Amino acid sequence: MLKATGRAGQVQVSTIITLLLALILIFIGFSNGEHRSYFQKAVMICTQCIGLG
Amino acid sequence: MHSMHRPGLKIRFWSQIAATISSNAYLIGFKTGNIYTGVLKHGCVPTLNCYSCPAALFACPIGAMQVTVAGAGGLDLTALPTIGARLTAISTSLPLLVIGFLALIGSIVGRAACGWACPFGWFQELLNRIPTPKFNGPKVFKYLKYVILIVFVFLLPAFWLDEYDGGEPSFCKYICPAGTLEGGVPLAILQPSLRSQLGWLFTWKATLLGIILLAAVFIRRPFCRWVCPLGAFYGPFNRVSLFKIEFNKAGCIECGACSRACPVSLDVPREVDSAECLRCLECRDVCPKSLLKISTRASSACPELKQQ
Repeated sequence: MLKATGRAGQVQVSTIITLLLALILIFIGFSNGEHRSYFQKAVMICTQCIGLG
Repeated sequence: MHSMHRPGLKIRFWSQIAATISSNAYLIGFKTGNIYTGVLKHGCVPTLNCYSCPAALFACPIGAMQVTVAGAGGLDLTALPTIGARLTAISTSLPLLVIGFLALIGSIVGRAACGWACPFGWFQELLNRIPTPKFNGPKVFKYLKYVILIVFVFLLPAFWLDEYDGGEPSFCKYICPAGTLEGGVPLAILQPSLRSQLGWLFTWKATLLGIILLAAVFIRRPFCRWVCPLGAFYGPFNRVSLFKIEFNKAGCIECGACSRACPVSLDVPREVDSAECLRCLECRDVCPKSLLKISTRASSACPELKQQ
């Protein structure tokens, strides 16, 4: 039972760490104004995307 | 034998339609030939959806990643005097917001966005319904999408610079068939001025799109399994995500119904919930023994403790 508990604990910790890390990255990225940089690209026709180059 | 199909199958179909329409609800763009330029494009959808589609309301996460990385072209860390300045420069050069957003989705539901919300994945599934002989293709191809994620989404936009030290979105430019289908083809039809400028690159991308769509008739979701960098990003999260699929192997009668239903041709008893699994739940819905179920890491973590 100890072994099972330990493995389960690892899985849960990895899930929580991943969730927290994701939230931290969102906060930093938003603080850096990253959304504004790709917004400028997204509101213009992307010539690369459509095959103009 | 009673019908093995449960409502889940239809729910997923309608979820795919709803996601496709809600991501591309600016329908007037198909009339005017112009793309949406409103505030919603500050946000990304969790799936591959070209922001140059005339109807797209949101940004594409893979496009946004490349734009951020490419915008940092020519970054010279040695020119920065302090460690703090260097760390700040690095953090503003990486697509942390998009990575965090995708990681949040992945941490909760793994690769489910691919199975439930991706317009291009759904289109491939529709093509695969055309009655023809079906094939699996070599399993080793699944590693290609990880190479594409690293090389075309990160390395080339960061290091393949033009004379002005600017990078470009290499995946969008050379590969993305969703961009060609949703952006390139409609805009080429709607804007004669653009159509007149199309050259070898459009020919290459249209050919690639044609190959992938033709392959999708015979092979289940070939782009998702072998090429999609977003699938490569989400895949590993299946190992740690809050929600997962549990399979009771002990009760399996090896009927093969689950593997036949899998939209990415997995050997379900051995590969369910692997990095290739789209979490679509088709397998759960057809299993005659109801051996597959959704659970959380927490609920299934300590069965022995639960029994006490």
